[in-house]
Amino acid sequence: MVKESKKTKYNSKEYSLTKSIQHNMKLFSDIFMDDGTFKVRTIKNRFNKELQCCVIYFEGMIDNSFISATVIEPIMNCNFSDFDSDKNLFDLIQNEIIISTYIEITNDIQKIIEAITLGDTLVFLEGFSDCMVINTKGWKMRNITEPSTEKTLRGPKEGFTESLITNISLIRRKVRNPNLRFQFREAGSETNTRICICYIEGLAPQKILDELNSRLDKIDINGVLDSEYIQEMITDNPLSPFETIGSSERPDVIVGKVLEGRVALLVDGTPFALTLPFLFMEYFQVNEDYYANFFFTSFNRLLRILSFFFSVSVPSLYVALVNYNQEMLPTPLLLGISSARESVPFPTIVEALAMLIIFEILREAGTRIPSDMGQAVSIVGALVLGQAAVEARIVSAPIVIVVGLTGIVALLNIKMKGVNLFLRFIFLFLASFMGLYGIVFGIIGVLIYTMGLSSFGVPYMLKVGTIKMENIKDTFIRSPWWYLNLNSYKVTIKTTLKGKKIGTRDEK
Amino acid sequence: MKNKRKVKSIIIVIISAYLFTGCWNYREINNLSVVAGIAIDRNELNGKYEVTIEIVNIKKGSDVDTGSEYITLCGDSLFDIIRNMISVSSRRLYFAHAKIVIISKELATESLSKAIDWYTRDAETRTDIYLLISKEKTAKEVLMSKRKENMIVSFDLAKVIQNEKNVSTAPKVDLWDFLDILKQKEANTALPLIFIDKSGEKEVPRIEGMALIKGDKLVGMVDGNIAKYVLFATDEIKTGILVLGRKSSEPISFEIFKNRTKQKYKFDEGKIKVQVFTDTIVSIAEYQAQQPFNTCEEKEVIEKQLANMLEESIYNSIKMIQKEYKSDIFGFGITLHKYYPKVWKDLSDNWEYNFENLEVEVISKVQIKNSATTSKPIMGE
Repeated sequence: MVKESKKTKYNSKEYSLTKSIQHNMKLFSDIFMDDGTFKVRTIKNRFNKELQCCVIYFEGMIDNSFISATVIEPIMNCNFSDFDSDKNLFDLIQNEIIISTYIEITNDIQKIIEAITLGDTLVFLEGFSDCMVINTKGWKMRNITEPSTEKTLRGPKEGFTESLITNISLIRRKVRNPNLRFQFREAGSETNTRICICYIEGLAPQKILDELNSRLDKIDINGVLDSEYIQEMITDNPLSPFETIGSSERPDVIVGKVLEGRVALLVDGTPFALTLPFLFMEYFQVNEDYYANFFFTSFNRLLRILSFFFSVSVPSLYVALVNYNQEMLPTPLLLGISSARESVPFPTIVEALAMLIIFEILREAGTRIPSDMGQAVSIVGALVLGQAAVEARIVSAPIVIVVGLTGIVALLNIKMKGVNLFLRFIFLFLASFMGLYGIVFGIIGVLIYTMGLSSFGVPYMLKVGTIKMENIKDTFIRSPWWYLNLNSYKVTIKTTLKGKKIGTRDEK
Repeated sequence: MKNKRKVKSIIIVIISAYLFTGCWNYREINNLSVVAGIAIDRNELNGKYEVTIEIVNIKKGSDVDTGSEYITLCGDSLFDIIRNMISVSSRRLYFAHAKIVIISKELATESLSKAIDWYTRDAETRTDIYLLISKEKTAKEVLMSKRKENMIVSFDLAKVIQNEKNVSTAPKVDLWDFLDILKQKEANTALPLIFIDKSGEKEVPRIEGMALIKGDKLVGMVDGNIAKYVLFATDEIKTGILVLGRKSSEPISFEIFKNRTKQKYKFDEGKIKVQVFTDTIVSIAEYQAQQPFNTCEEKEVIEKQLANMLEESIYNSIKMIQKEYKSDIFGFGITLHKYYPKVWKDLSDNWEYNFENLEVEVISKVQIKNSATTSKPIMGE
């Protein structure tokens, strides 16, 4: 209820506009007290001294030369001397003097505050209690560049920026369709961050939209700096390592998902947009899959799936085989591992845990440190921890190979890093006291768990369970474009959702 | 309330999963002594069992240059000996990777099933190892005869058995194969023989020939030459060589590409006749004779000669085993039991006698596919 009182605070009588510009200026100076960037400029007409107005804006948020040329200069220099009737002055200035694409007339203080903080300029006129809100947004933005997290060899090279409007324009440019919808909302009681729900009318199921809106209504947070804030607040399974909402930095990916009937969620201030519902197989779908030859990309997709299994199970399989199920190893391999482990002081499980954690430390260090220090990390990682540790017989050589392989294959599915890490340690734990049996046990558990997940009412493992052409044509492989039907997801989702109530999240 | 039940059921599942597992034992790979082979003897002096095991000697370092060590102990039972070996070996013995079991002639004559009972019963050992009978006095001396210093005799012998199919002079019998046969009423089979070949510079173990088993007892041994024809009769020939004109000055060698043997039974007037049909595809591998063989007729002559030689040799081998050892290693009894149960009912009571007097006919067909890279004798014309 705190949130509500804040929103309605400025609607009280105390904060209402009057016909006096002095009062109005005072009012805003009070609201933005002690704010150094809050600027008020009073202007008088050269020909008619009666005409007084003031321009209010935030420094840095507006385009200075634009205001000078389109607002201040025309009001100052226009000949108002022969103007007699007070009644039409406001309309005259609005319609004939100010040169701007967008002017809104309002006296709603709340609306005005939202506008000025977004980079609009306010113009008050003596004798009128209404305010002109002029679109003069002109802050500096990062350029549109190729996103560093999702590089492709072929395909569009543009990525989202931190500006919501720019991002929307990137989407609109790709879909010239009147059915493309952008709905704005706000989240964050302090930041009032703008959120945009983007979908194509007729493709996106209404049930999912309704559910999304109802979940967004329940968000109670004071600030939203990245889409992850929203993602965690509206996801179906907040405690799961499996993500049930996707994210991407690329407009082409977002448009692709929107065309499949999904709903995209753009958040101001971050280049990462969300898509929902998100299914498990989408982890393995990369935009380049659709831009390159389908044989090649199908192979790549299979590699990604394989690498997911590798990254999750290789350390635990090694521990299970070396400590429990030695009879599964071919004899020469057994002798090889045995001689490599000779006089290594730690048990295999300790070795595996230590090396995996060291790898994660190196990875984290690699992403955090300034790029010109990156050399140091790779030298320390490769030489000191790999070769020297093996030669000093602190760890055995096979575990270095196992950890190296695990680490590298995990990088193939960079979006799954959370799942990978979580499952890897769970499996390792199971393998360390139950062997292969434990791993099988773990796989069964993970399957039961993931089969029970859903994303906005859509089963998370949709299309994974059965091997039908319909199901694998865009999951395990990427079929040729003439065989792919973009609407296939939509059809499935419609039939799955028919007559079914989407599970709403428990209110906690 | 709901959560409590959930947590409870999860805990129950985890605990039961943990308790019901058969393989709970965490053991480091480098704390195991990998057993490569086992030799079972009867000690001459005290008449107890004597077991020798070959253990892989793992050296630390990146080069897997492994040798082997031996442990020999005597005891009343095999399990007694194996357990007591812990007092000799510093590490736990690990049998899952053992490749061969060699049993001495003496023990095999007494009873094979007694000698292998522990090995088949134990949970950790595996029955996919090769079973061999030592032709020498003891099994131990075979296992301990090393060709060179850094080698593991058992692993080496296992490879020999695997490659044995290229010469086909000894059967290849896994322990589980043998166990299957032991369960049958007329348990007769053949096991490979191992002996020390002293002809070369060094004494090396060599696998050739057959030990004939009747029941679970050793009844006789035949050499590699007869073994080959026995394998022909039992359809176990994969590849191998045949030599025509063995005694003459112009021998011809053939490489067997493919062989199919069928056993058929003919009943007339109460008498049973076993017909052994062999169909062999060979190629000429060595040709020391002079006459050319490139025309169809000439080839047919050689084929005919080879077929006759095969017929005769197989027939003689079968007859010899029928008369001398009375062990139905050809499985005639088993097939009769399977396909002609009524006939078998009459015969089974006195199968030993019936087998001895079983009439056998061998019909061989040979097809020469090619003569390797040269299509005629290298000399002449």
